[in-house]
Amino acid sequence: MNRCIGITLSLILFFSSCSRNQLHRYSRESTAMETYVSVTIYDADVSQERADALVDSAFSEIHRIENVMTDYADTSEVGLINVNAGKDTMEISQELAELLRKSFSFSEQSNGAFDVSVGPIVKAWDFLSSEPKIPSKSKMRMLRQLVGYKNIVVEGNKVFLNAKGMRIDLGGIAKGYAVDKAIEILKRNGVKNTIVDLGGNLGVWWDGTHSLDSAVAEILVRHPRKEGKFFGSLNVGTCGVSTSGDYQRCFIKDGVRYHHIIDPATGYPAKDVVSVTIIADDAMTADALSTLVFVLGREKGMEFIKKSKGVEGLIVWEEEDKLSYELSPGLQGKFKRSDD
Amino acid sequence: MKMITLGDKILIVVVFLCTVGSFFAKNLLASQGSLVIIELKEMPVYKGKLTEDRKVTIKGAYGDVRVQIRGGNVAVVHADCPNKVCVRTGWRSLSGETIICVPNQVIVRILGEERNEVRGITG
Repeated sequence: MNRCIGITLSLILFFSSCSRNQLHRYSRESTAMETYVSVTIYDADVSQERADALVDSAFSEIHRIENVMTDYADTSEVGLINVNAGKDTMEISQELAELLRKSFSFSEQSNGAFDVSVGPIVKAWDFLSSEPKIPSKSKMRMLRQLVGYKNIVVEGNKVFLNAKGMRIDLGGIAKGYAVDKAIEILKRNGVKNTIVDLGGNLGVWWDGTHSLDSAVAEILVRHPRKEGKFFGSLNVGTCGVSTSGDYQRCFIKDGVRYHHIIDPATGYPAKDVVSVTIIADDAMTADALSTLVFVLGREKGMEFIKKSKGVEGLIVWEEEDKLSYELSPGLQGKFKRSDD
Repeated sequence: MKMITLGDKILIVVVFLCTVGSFFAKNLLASQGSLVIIELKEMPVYKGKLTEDRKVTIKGAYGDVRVQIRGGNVAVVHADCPNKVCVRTGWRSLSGETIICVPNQVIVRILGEERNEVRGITG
């Protein structure tokens, strides 16, 4: 009987100790790159002042990258490249040159489904405007001729756009890159546990953990058709997570949904799926591949995920108002679908 | 040595169930927010329950910001600001989530039970 009491008390002590959380949570939010950003640090004993300084350093890094890579300002590096399209070769930072080369690698791998030269078409749709318009067919024909990553010439730190009117748009990769760089700054300053969220592009850094091998952070995936609800969840350690969905930056006209994920081959929003979530080793890869897989569609997209090392994904599509989904092999048994 | 009584056994079971129950309630249930706080220039200007449907208009630094609370969710449904980041943020419902309108200096916060959750939201 004494053994029975002992076991009971041990269990009580076990559950009591489990419910005690050792890490404190410091979180701040702001806006950057035309979306929201939050930086959360988990630490046992960092002071509020120190946490504030760390978060400030992460925000500063994100704003620095925004100032280099935005195409909304003609004074950024990307803005200057675009203004000088077809005219002048521009000298750019090594950082931007490397990001462009990385984006070309995604373009090569996907046969152009990911293409940062899609800028003229994205600008014509203007999804950030309060009244976005559908570009006319004739205008679209003309704009499509300006798209093609092979017409962006990068040699060392010099870049030239082959035709006037071409535009680079890093909207499919820069946010993830900024998340990685913010985490890099935090790591350099001794942070061991953090989540950086830039418009749903997540970077999780949890010292000693790796991707789906760990389960320190719960990631909720937004429901593509029910605002404020979640489609499901998964648990991860250090990794990047990104979702591209047709419900973000979209408008509906005559019963047709037009969204911001443009298929560079057609100039129109990619249609096959409604949402793609990618888990990768870093946020930049997750960001780029969520767009790339969305454009490739259900079958080719899943093939791409399966052949990409360290990449897992969830693809959601809609048939007659009903959502279906497919998980890559590594997510099987790890993704929990929410009740609708 | 005294024998354990029926009352002792019931007490042990009740204490055990309460402990285990509170553990699961605290750690496993979704942390739906319960309170909405709207701040203007870092000062609270509205506080209300997330469960009470309501429309609130704030005179921000740039113009009007219309916040709607509906069915346990909150959203900025209109804002006089250039980029509408706040409006595009959409509906939010979980404790710790925020909607920010920088030009208007308005922050909508959802509060709930204080927890040190490790959680991210994608999409």
